[in-house]
Amino acid sequence: MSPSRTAIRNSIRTLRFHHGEMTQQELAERVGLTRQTIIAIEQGRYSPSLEAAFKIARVFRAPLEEVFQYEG
Amino acid sequence: MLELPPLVLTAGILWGLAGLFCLSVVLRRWRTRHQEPQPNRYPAALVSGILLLAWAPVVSAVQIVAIVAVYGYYGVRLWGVPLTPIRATATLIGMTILMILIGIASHILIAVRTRPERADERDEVVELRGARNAYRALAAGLWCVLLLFLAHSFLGLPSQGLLFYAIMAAFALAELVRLGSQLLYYRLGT
Repeated sequence: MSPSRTAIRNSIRTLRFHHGEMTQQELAERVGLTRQTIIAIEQGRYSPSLEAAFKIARVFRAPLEEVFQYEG
Repeated sequence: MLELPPLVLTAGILWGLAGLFCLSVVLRRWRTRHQEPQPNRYPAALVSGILLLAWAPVVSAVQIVAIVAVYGYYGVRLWGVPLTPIRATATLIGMTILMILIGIASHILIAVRTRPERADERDEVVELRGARNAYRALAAGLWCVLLLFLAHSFLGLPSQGLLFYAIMAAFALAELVRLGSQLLYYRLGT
């Protein structure tokens, strides 16, 4: 059984790389999530809440659309 | 040997378990506050082909094993034995105490091997969906029990013991569905 993907894509991995190779743990601590949840979001296995999505975008100082893209 | 009334003995055991639980909570909080973040030291566990690395899925997996072990043990032990009220009560108390003991021991052991994580929004979603699935399984199980009861009533068969076991099985099934679906949600996504 393959993991179910959400219709929301994201650029978190790329943005982390461009922000001083930020680790998943560091991002998780800054937005108040667990590292496992960050991994799940990056892999498209979990769509974060709107609040968490805004927090992630704020960490990268980027608009929401740059971090998350809807491919429905 | 000192003879204690059953009520005093039960109360003593429950207070002891409550004390152990409080101790484990304090230890967990102390670890979370005083330890530097470190990589997960838990050796990758393979449960039903699912690679588990995080705190919450490991707890769910251990609970599944505990349920299968405890319910299986009592199922084998009581198979074919006529059920009396005392035996039913003893079974309920014994299963509850065993589940609590296994739960406390496993939480302490897992806390030693992994860094406990506080639950976040994804954990809440997984928990809620697991509870929803468990409710459906429990409802289906209880409908089966009702049909079984009706069938036995129409046939004029004694159904007291059968009802007890069927209800216990429905509870066990619901718990397994809850924990199993939580594991799948963690692995496959919500």
